[in-house]
Order: sequence, then structure tokens, then C-alpha cells
Amino acid sequence: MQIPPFIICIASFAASLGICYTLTPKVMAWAKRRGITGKDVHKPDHPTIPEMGGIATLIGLTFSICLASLLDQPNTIEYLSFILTVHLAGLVGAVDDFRPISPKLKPVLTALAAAPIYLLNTYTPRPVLPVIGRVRLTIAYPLLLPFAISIPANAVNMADVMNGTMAGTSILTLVAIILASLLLGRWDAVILCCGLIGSLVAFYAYNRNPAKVFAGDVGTLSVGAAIGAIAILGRVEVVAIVAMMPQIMNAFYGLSSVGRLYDRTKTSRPISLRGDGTLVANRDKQAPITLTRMILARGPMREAEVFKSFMTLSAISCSLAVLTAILIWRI
Amino acid sequence: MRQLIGIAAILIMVWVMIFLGAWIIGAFVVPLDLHIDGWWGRAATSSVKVILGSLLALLWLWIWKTVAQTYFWKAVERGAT
Repeated sequence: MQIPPFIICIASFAASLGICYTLTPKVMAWAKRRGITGKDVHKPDHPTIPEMGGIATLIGLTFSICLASLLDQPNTIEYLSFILTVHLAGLVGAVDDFRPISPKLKPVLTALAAAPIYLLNTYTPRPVLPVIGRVRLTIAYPLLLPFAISIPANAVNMADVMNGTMAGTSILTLVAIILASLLLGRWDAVILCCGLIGSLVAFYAYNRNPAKVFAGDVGTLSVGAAIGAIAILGRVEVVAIVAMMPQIMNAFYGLSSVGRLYDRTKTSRPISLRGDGTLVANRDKQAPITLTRMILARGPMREAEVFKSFMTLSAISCSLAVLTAILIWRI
Repeated sequence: MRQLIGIAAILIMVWVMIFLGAWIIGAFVVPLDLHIDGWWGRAATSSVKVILGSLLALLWLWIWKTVAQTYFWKAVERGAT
């Protein structure tokens, strides 16, 4: 019996939401016991917060995809390639959380996470581009696959700068991809998005300002890789790029202003915290021009206001992504 | 919200440029033919198309970077006054 896709979406969302919400406090306690913590540098008292909360989102997502795979057996190979890609990126993140990987090696390692999509041949090298329509990229598409995983993974990682920004902007991105996929009739992408959104909504409850847990690279790299994999498997590549523009902008501005891949701890900080608890853009010409620094360029703001700015920009890009899907749909 | 108008304008400019770039590729790069016979001609035509497409992408990134950096330093100056 064929189960209607919207039932699979609801089941997938509920499973990841429930598992992630239940597991996150346990991961927080484990991280505290093991001393896997970080300082919240945007708070005046610099509280110590448990890291690697992303493990709970990864487990929640894994269970929801296993459930979706049981309910939607014709797409099992697709789900398998998705979850393997996400786990490989998560593994790179976990290693980075314990022992920092060089900023040049990390994009290469996350690019390797595209291997399951290659090996299980779950990609379609015929993307639909705006204006042009469907194009056949038999040679170029497989060559671009590692970038399609590495760029979103590292962009989401670099956008995890304030409490709640990673989860909040990723949820908006996924909502845009769901709307676009519904319009284009790509139910497989909708099911994958629902699984990821469930985990992120649960994680956001603990990560919103003031954060009780940080995602760590295990969370940010796996979420970014998951969005990249959804774009490939659901054939919504351009829509995903447009929806992720604030995260891509943040990474691109930082890289283009410094002129190379950089280690956040070894460059001048783009923003600083003032005594009154507000954040201000650094005037140093050598500091990377990140999106947060651009938002703060005109004057100081509180962390909650910077978060709202991130969400507003994400909402604008998600509206543009849906508009892009409408324009593609009309071709 | 005042701070976001400039950044949102850059975001919309980048989005419009994606469409403009796609139109240029669809209208001028894809139909390009060097009129050279044989496999050599096909390889040369494909290579020219890839090079032109890459140059367009680089030009897009360069315009994006220049506009963003100009906006940032002007906004910093305005914030200081």
C-alpha cells in the first residue's frame, strides 16, 4: 500500500522533533561532564555553554529518515545516500570539535561527503536553470557535486555566529525549499526537509538567545551538508542557492575581504562586545567583513537585534527563492 | 531596520544578476558556434563556452564583492558621523 507523502512528512517531522527535543538535554549533560564547552563571547559575563548539541539533531534526523525510508520504500537508496552524506559531514565536524582541522582542509573533507551521492548514483545531471530551462550537464554536474555539499556545509558553519542564527536561518531556508518543492512536485525533497526541520525546531528551543547549548561543527556542517544534499536529490539547486544567500553572503564577504580561507581565532575579530552589552563592528581594515559586521556597520546593536536582522535577511532571500521556483515552474 | 535596507538591496541585486547571467548564457554563450569542423572544432567550441561562462561567474563575484565592500566602508563612515 502506498502511503500518502504528506503522512510521511508529518511522521518524519514528529519523529525528529521528539527525538531531538528529548536527546538535547542528555547531550548537554554529557558535554558538560566531558568538558566539551565553549564561551558565549557575545554576553558580558561570557557564560560557559556545552557544545556539540548538533549530535542530537543528527540522531533525530537519522531516525526520521529511517522512518521515511520504511514508509516510502521506492526511495530507500535516495534516503540512504542522503543520510550517509550528512553523517560524513557530521563526522568531519565532530573531529573538528575535538581537534580543530585547518581552514584549508575542512572544505576538502566536507566535499568528500558527496561520495555516497556519487557512488549510489542518486543525482540527476539535468538541473532546471532560470530563464534557460532544463540543461543537460552530464560532465559538469558530477564535477560540481563536491562543491554543492562543501559550500552549504561551510556557509552554515560560518553563519553560526549568534545564538539561534544557524537553526533559525536554516529553518527558513528549508521552509522556502518545501514551498518550492511542492510547487515543482518534488515530494522526496519535502520529506527530507520535514525531517531536518523537526530536528532544527527542537534544537532551536535550546539554542535561542540566551543559548543553553551550541551546535558545534558536528551540527553546523551536517545541517549545511543536508541542505546541499536536499538541493541535489530534490533537484531544487537554484532555489536552494537563492534561499541560502545570507549564509553564502556571510561566507563570501569574509573570504573575499581577507583574500583566503582563514581561522576565526587567528584573524582580527570582525565585531566586539562593549561594556553595555551591545555589539559593535570592528574598524580594523584587516578584519573579515562578515554579514554581522555589515549589519553592525551603522551602529551598535544587541545580540537579539542582530539575530532579528539575520532572520529578516533570510526571510527576504527565502521569498526570492519561492519567486525563483515560480519563474522556473512557468518555463 | 534602517541598517538592513542596503544589505537587502545588495541581496536583491545579486539575485537579479543570477537571472541576467542566465539570460546572457542562454542567449549568447549556449548558441555560440566557432564553425570549425570535426572533433577539434567541437572541443574548441565547448572550451570557449566553458571559459566564457566562468568569466561571467567571476565578473558576477567581483561586482558583488566590490559593491559589498564599498557599502560597508560607507556605512561605517556614516555610522561614525
